[in-house]
Amino acid sequence: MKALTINEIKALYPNEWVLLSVENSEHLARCDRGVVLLHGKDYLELCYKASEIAKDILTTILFTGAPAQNCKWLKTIRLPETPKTT
Amino acid sequence: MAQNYPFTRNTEDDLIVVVARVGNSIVELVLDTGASHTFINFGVLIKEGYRLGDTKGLVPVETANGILYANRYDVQMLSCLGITRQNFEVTSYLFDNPETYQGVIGLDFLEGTKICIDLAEQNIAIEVKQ
Repeated sequence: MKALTINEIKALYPNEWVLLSVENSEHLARCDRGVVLLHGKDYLELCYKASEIAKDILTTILFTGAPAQNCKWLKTIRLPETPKTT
Repeated sequence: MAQNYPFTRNTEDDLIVVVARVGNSIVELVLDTGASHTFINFGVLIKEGYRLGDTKGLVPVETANGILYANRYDVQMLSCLGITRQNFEVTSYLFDNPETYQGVIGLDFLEGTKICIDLAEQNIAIEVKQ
């Protein structure tokens, strides 16, 4: 299968989650191309399928739509561990 | 000897994003020196074959949407900024907006390093001290 650029993938699969096989490089770099292995609208479904078909190859998951603006999820503070009572 | 890792930050709203490898997954994580612990979106761990049953236990986490209980996992390999940690504990829950970033590199990952974040030059210089 042919490696596509991110722009080509976005044009082919708009607003979808895409599992890409990427080149294994010594230096980690932002992915700019890859071979499409799976695509779909459901993120979790893609993650589960990816765990079955792409265990031993280097992959990344890309969203081809516009990212949410001003998301606040990055506030992540781990609190002291206390026993959960319920 | 310090290694240099350039980053791109175009506006004051942008965060410092670094490329990381979790097992066989390439992900983009936010470098957050204000975070004590490293967080990874649970979708990434699912993709890597981890399941809820693999959890080491729950821990309370304060997020923008309130306090939730997240799971602790030992990931076999987490690599970022030239550092590779094996059997490294991360905190994980399913992010509301996974289309943006896949987690946070916190101080626990940076333990034992000298790190200089140069916002003017948009460069991270990091040296492993121990």
